[in-house]
Amino acid sequence: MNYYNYEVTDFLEDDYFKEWVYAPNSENISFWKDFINEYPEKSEMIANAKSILISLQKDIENEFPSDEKVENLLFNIQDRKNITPLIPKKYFYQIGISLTAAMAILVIGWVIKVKNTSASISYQDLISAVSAPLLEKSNTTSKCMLVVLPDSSTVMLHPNSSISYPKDFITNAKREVYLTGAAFFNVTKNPDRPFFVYANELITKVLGTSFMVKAFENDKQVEVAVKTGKVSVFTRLDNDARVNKSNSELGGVIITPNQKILFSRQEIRIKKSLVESPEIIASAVLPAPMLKFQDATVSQIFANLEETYGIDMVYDEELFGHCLLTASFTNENLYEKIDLICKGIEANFEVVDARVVISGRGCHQD
Amino acid sequence: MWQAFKQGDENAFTILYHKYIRVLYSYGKKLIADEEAVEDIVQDLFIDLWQSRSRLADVESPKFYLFRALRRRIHKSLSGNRSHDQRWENLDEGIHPVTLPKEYEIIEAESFQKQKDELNIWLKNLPERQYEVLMLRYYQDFSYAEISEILSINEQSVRNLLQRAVLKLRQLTISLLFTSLFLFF
Repeated sequence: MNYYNYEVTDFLEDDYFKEWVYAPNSENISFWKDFINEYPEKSEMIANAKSILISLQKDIENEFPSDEKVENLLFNIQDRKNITPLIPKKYFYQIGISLTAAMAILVIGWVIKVKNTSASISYQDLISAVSAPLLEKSNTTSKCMLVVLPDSSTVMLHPNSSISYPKDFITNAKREVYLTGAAFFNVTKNPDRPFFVYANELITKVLGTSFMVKAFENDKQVEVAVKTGKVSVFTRLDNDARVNKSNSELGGVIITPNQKILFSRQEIRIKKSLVESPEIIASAVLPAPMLKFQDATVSQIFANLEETYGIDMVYDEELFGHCLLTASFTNENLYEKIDLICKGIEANFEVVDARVVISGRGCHQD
Repeated sequence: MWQAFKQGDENAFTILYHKYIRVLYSYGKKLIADEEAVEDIVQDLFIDLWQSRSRLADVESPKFYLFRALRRRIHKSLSGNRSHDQRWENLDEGIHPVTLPKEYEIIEAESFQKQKDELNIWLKNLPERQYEVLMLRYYQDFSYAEISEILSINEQSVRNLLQRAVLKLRQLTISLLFTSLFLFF
């Protein structure tokens, strides 16, 4: 390829040139550096084309919606996308509108009835299985309703939704609530008393965070989406095996901000969905692995591990983030390193769903 | 991915969504400033995509399909809106007004400050269709044939629009380079 005869427009059209601007890697960086060194007279043209591409990119990315908006839009889309196709559109034009509306309700009702015959667990099943007396809050209005739980966690209860929780919620070892419908939770942090949301067949365990659970009785799917912090979600089937295990152990699918899971009630399957399309690594130069720490915070060390290994580590920043460590690594592998760190901060780790999850009481600096 | 999506794979749908929502939203915002309208259109777009998945052609790239559908929807919604010019499509791009007067351009180009921002200002003030073509070709990597279909104009017009846009931007970048050289010596 003879780039020497290229004009600005040719550069703009050239995939390899664009790759260098939009997705630089060590190979294309060195190619274009060499090219400019060899033909300095082309450097102005290249700068020109590059600045056009970069301004264009900036201008487009400037209008990108926030992550929150992306999730909200998806939420609405998921909500509506499976409803209408059940009724052929043409119907509306053939019959009187009021009649069709009534029919539509019947059709939807029937379809749901059919889908629902599989062994699913309803809210009624859940609360009738609880022996302790429960308090129930229901939202029959058309707006969201704020419910404050005894531990001052808040629940934004959506229309046509209800939650129940034990009367002795505040004294129980576990904080447990039962939900039907949709609600946004903001849970106060308390590592000694984990927070559980039971909704249809799903159990959501919380590490102190805010998140959304959507589990309407008649929906085919149950959804949990996280806004801040981390939650782990498992199905009731999983839970029966886990229920006796210690509280600090996490199980099921872990979701972090901008991630969500969809649980298909028919297939009894949890699907974790990707939030973002895989992102371009802006720089090919990764930070060097840290080998010696002197009074480094655990969050610094973890961040370095995440970057150098390209993994995700899940831990409670408030509990562990400020722990200080002095250590040095030689040629340990990742797990050995994490194990060393965990010993230092009296924590345990396990690998769940390609992430390293750290759990424990944290360091108390009083 | 497209095949999985067409067979009703929810996961594939979510991946498609996340892959394209940002660029589509951004494109929508360029065409209509009204944020709520963009949100509505984008949502409907994905809902329709899901509902009509079995009828979609195999050959089309999802990205192309989405961009074309988005632009058609926006123009449909604009043509229902009286504040916008319904004959916009028929206007020659050359007489589509540039927002800034000539004098302002010259002053802007000559000023030493905000050099980096200037290209952006220019970009923002390119005639809408020049901007669209520039963005679709150089940022989104669509072929000329695809762009011509997205914008419902012929391929030669696409090339012309692109040429004019680049020419304008080049003049600007050159003058920017000169002013910066001038500053140094």
